[in-house]
Amino acid sequence: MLRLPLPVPLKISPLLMICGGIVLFWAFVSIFGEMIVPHNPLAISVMERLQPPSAKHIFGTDALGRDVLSRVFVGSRSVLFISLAATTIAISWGTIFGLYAGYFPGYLSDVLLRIFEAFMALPVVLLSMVAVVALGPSSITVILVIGILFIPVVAKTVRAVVLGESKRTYVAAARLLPERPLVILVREVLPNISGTIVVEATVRLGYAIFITATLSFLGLGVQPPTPDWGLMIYESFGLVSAGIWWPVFFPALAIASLVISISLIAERIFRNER
Amino acid sequence: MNDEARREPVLRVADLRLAYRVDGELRETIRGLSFQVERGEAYALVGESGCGKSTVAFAAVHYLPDNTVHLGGQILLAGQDIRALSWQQRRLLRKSVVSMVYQNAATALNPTMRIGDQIAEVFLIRGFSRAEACLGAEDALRKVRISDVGKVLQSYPQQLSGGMQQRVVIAMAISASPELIILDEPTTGLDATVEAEILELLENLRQELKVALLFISHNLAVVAQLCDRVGTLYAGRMVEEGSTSSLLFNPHHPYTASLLRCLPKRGADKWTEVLTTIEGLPPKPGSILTGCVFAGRCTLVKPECRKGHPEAIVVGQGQKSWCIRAAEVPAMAFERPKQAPPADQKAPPLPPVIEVRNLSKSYGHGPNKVQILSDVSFAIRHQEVLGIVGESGSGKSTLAKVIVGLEPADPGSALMLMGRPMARLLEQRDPAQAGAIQMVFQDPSDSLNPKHKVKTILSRTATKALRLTASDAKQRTFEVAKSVKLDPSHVEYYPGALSGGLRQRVAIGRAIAGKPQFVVCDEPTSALDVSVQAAILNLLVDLQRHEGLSFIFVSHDLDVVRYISDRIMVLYFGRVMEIGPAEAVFSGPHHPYTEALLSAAAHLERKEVSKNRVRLRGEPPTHRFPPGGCVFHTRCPRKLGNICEEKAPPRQIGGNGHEIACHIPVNQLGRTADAR
Repeated sequence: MLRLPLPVPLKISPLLMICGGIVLFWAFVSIFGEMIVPHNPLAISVMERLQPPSAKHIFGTDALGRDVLSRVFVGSRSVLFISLAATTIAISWGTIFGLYAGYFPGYLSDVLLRIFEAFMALPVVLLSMVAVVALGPSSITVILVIGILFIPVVAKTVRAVVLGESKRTYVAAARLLPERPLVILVREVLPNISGTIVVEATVRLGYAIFITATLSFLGLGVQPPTPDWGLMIYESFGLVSAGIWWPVFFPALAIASLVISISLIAERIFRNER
Repeated sequence: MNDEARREPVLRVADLRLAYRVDGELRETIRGLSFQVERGEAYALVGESGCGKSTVAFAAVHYLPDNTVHLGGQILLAGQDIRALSWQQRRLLRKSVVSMVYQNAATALNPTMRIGDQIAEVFLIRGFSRAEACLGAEDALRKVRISDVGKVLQSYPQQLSGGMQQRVVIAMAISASPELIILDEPTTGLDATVEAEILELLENLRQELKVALLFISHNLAVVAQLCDRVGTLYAGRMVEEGSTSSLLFNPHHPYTASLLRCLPKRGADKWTEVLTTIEGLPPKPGSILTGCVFAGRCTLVKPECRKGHPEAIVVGQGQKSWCIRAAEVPAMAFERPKQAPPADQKAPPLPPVIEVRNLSKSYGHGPNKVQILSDVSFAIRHQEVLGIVGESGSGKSTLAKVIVGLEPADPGSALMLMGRPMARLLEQRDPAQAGAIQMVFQDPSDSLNPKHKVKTILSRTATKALRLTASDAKQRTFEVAKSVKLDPSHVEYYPGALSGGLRQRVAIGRAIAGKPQFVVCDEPTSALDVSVQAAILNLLVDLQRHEGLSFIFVSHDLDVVRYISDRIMVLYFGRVMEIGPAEAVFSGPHHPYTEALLSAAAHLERKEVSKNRVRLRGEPPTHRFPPGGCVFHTRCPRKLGNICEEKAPPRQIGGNGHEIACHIPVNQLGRTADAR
C-alpha cells in the first residue's frame, strides 16, 4: 500500500489520484503562471474582443480581448496564495486556542468559547464584506479577515479532540513525571491530534478558496487589472445572458475543480482518520 | 425432531478449519478442531486470548465476520450442518435451538427499549401473542431470580447494575427455550460477589431447564465451578480435553499445566512461591505450524514434537491429551520454585513512605455532592506492598488517583511523603515530591503515548526525573529495560507493535525509571492473560525486593492481592472496612464484608463455592442516598440492629495492626473455613 507522508495512513484510490492531480496541477500553474501561458494575460487587443474558444485562444477572449486561458492560469496564484495564507493563520491560532481551551477548562476557556460561538453565529461572507470595506480592499486584508474568521471553527474542533485525549492515561502519566503543561500539550497531545488538524486544514483550505473567490467577485479582494478568478467572473457575468459564456465559465470551472478536489481529499483523509 | 436427532450431541464440531482474510492473505485461526457438547452438558473452552475461543463460539451459530473463510470441517448444531442451511433455516435454529450470552451485557441490550419489551420481543419472534409475550417476559425474569420483577420490566438497561443486566441477557437467552446456550466470557467484567451469583444462577438454570452450555472463558476457577467437561484450546487446536475435575487437578498437557501454574494458589504469598510463567506468545493467526502447536513455548519440548501434529493419547477416563510426552506432565504440573523470604530486617524505624490521614474525596456541590471517599487513613512503610480490594464503585481507583494527586483530595485531608506534608493537587507539589510517586495504569495501550518509541518514553522519564545527560539517560533506558525484562531490541518499537504484556512492562519501566519512592498500581494485571499476569506479578515482587520499592496494588482479584501484598485494605463505599497484614485479613477474624468477598471468590481448590457462601442482600447503596451509621448495614448478613444504622462503627484493633470497623466484637467475627 502506498502511503503519503501524512500523520494518517491514506490508501491511494483512483478518485484520490484524480483529485490530487488537479490540486497539483493548480499548484504548478500558480507557481509558473507567466512562464507557461500562451499570451500575456494583461495584453489588451481591441481586434480580438470576445472571441469564442478557438485554436489560438483555447478558452476564448474577454471584453477587452485578453486571453481567458492565460488569465485563468495566472489568476490561480492570488487565490491559492490568499487561501493558503489564511488557512495557515486559522490553523495555527485555532490549534493554539483549541489546545488551551481543551486542556485548561475553566473560566477563561469558557469566555473564549462563548466569544468564538458568537463569531460562528454570524455569516462569514457578510462579516468579511464589512471587514474588507472598513479596512480597504487588499490581499493582506482578505488574508487576515478569512484567517481570523476561521480561527473559532478550528479552535472548537481542536478543543473537542484535546478534551478526549487529555482524559487518556498517558497524559496522567506525563503529569506525574512531572512534565510542564506546555510540554504535555506539545510533546504528548499534539502528535496524537495531528490527524484531526490535517483534516481540518484541508477542509478550511477548500472553504478559504471559495470565500476568496466570492470576495473578489464582490470587488473586495484583488483589484483590477490583476487577473483573479472571482474578479474575472465579476467583470464578465453580465455577458452570459448574451450567450458569451466562456469568460465566466472557465474561471468558474477552475474554482469548482479546485474546491471539489480539496473537499474530496479532505473527506477521504477524514474517513481514514476514523 | 426424530429419535435419531435426539441422540445426536447438541453441538458437534468436526475437524473445523477457519481463516480470516486480511489484506488478501489467508490467516488460519482454527486449525482442525473437533469437540462435541452433549445434551444437557456444560462444556468449557479455555485458553489465552488469541487462541480462537470466541471464533469457535461465533462459528457455532454462523455469525462470523464477512472476511471469514471456511477451509474445511463441519459444524453440526442439533444434528444439522449449519453451513448447509438456508438463511431462514438458520434463523429458525437461532430462534429455538441456540442462544448466546455475551461478555458485555451493557452493549448487548438496547438502551432505547424497556427491559420488558426486549424480553417480550423474543417471544413475539417465536410467534406468541402480545399478552403471552408479556407474561413470558415476567416469567423469564423470575427464572433468573430477579426479585422486583415489576420494576425491572419497566426499566431501561442503563438503570440496572452490571450484574442485573447480565441476568436480563440470560433471561432473554432462556426465553427462546434453547437446547444450547453459548456464553462468551459472561462474568469477566463483573465483581466476585456478582460473579458468584451469576454462576449459581447458571448452575440452577441448567438443572431446571436441562439446557446445554458452551462456556467460553479464560478463568479456570470459574470453569471449575460450573462445567462438566473442559477443552483446552491453543492456537486453534484442542490440546487437552477431559472432565473438569480430572483436567484441572490432573492435567496431562504442558499447556494446561502451565496455565494452572500461573495462578497464585489460594493463600499463597510471594515469599513462599514464585509464579511460573509461560515464555513467549501464542502463535499469530496464519503462522505455519508443522509440529505440535505448543512446541514453541513448551518446557518439555523435544525434537520429535516439531514433526507432525501429535495424536491424542487417552490419559484417563474420558481425558485425552494431544502431547507425546503426556505421561511426564503430572510430574511438572504443580511443582513451583520456592524462594526464601527476605531476612527479617530489623531496620531503624523510618517514617512511613506515605501516610494518609482523614482523606476524603467528593465531587459536586450542594445537593449534587457525592462523597466517594470518607475518612480514609493508613500508612505504608518502606519496601511494603499495600493491597487495596473492594468491588467496583468502592472508591479503589479514586483513592489511587487522589494519592498521586491527579485529583485533589478534599480540604482537611492530610497526605505525607517521608514525613513531609504534600499539597493535595499534583501541580502544587514541589517537583521532587511529585516525581517521587509514580503510577501504573490498568490499560497500557492507553497509558503509553502511541506516537513515542519505547526508548523515548523511558529515557524522557530518566532525563527529567534524574536530571541525566543524554548518554546517561540512554544507559538508564537499557538498565530499566533489563530490570523489567524487556529485550534491548524492544526499545526501538512503538507501543502499538508490542503485545499487552510487553506494553505493561514498558509502563512499569516508565514508572520506575526515575527511581521513585513509591508506585501506585491500579489494576495493572486486570487486562492481561494469566500467563502474562504471573510475569508482571513476579516482576513487581522482584522490584520490591531488589530496588526497595513500596507499592499500592489495587485489584479486585483477591488471590492476586493476597499473593503480592504485605498488608491489605478492604474498601466498601469509600470507607475502610478492614486493614491489616495480608495473612491476618485472609485468615480472620473478618469484617462481615471481607467474609462475603472471600467466600464469593471463585477458585480452583473449592468447587462447592455456592453452597456455604456468605450472601449479600440487595444492591450497593447509591452515592445520592448514602446509608447512615455503618454504610454496610443495608447489605450486612450479620447486622446487629439499630446500632448499625445509627452509629458509625468503631475501629477495633486486633493483634499485629489488624483493624476492623464493625460493632460486632472481634472475637465474635467469622473466619472463612478454608483460609490458612
